[in-house]
Amino acid sequence: MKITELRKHRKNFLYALYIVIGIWIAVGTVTVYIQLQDYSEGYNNLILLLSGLVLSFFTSFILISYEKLRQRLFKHQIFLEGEVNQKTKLLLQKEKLAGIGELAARIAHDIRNPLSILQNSFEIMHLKHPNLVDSVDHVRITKSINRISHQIDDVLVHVREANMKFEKEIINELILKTIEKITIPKTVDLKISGKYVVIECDEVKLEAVFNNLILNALEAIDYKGKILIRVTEKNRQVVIEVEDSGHELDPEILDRMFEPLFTTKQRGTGLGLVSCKKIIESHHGKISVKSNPTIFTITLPIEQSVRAKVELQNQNQ
Amino acid sequence: MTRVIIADDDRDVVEVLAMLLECKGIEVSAVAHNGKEAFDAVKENQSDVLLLDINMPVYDGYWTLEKIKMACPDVKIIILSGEIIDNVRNKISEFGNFTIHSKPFDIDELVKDICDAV
Repeated sequence: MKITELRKHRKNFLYALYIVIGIWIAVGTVTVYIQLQDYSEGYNNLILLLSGLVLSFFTSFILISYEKLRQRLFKHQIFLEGEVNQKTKLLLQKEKLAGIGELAARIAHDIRNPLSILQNSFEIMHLKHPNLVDSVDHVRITKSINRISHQIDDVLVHVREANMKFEKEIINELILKTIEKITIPKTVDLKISGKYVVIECDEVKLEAVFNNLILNALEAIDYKGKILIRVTEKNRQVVIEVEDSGHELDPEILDRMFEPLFTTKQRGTGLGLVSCKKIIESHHGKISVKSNPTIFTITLPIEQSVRAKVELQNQNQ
Repeated sequence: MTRVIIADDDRDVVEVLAMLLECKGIEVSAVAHNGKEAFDAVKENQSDVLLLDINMPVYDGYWTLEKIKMACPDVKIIILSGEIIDNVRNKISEFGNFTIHSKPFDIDELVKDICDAV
């Protein structure tokens, strides 16, 4: 039997019990009254019977009202406890992020100086002794230095306060532009479907989100399988789904997917999806994940200004 | 020949950058390791461009920017920073528009910006 059914039975039982108690109290009171007064006339007995009924109804009504109020308060208490837990969790996450952010910013600064020395020293070496390093090595070293630099930038995405630059973009083209920058192996069947939707968004930041989700999908299918990206429009919102043919994800992993520093990868920072969530939320959107199949769903308002106005109105109310 | 001053608290950064700029045909007229030294160097040396780091001890890049904009408004300043670019851009916006290069920077782009600034 389900918990909800058990609760319902308990509720009905309590109501019945209160009615019985009410009648019992009323009958008891009337009986004692009759014995004390010793009425013999039928008219008086009728009045007494009616009084007993009214009294029993009144007592039952009070008891049932009390039970309803108690249940309502209990529900409210559960709701408030849930709210407090959720807010506490968010606050802890925010504190955790702030701490990580500060540390990451310091480390980033401390890494960038030696990286700069490394790059410039290599340039001097290359200028003074051009034959010492061939062009392939030159490109490889420069690329590696740039990669470290970009990885630092990626980690720092979640640190900085979102400085959004909203412009009208075709979401499908933005996704295609992201895909162009990723090396997709021939063993991967990547498809994008759906209608063309123009939305107000920060192009660079959304590209970072799509990049993250597609790279995650590639890793999830181990670079062989299917990835399907769907774009649909619903109620002045665009829905973007990224589905992969990877294996089913544990519910526990799904629950923790957007937690800072949570990762299932050996080389993951645990900040990729946190950054995605932050970017989507700064667009007044939502991101969620489900399995199986694994689908990341992003919902974004088509117009930022309309959404912002609605939020402002809600805040004022 | 274009003359620049380099201000950075990391001596290795200054030394290597000075060598590289000279290889690219740009003269380094002075170097500084904090904001105060940078401000003095700008006043004492006839230079076209100041390459300024932000995070420096004693007097940082923001202090230096403010002082130089008041005392020597003609000196061109290019920011070289290991900090988060957006944060730096927001903080310096009150002093004007400046070119910012995030470390590690592309030397050819930096040289181009130095030449464009003059």
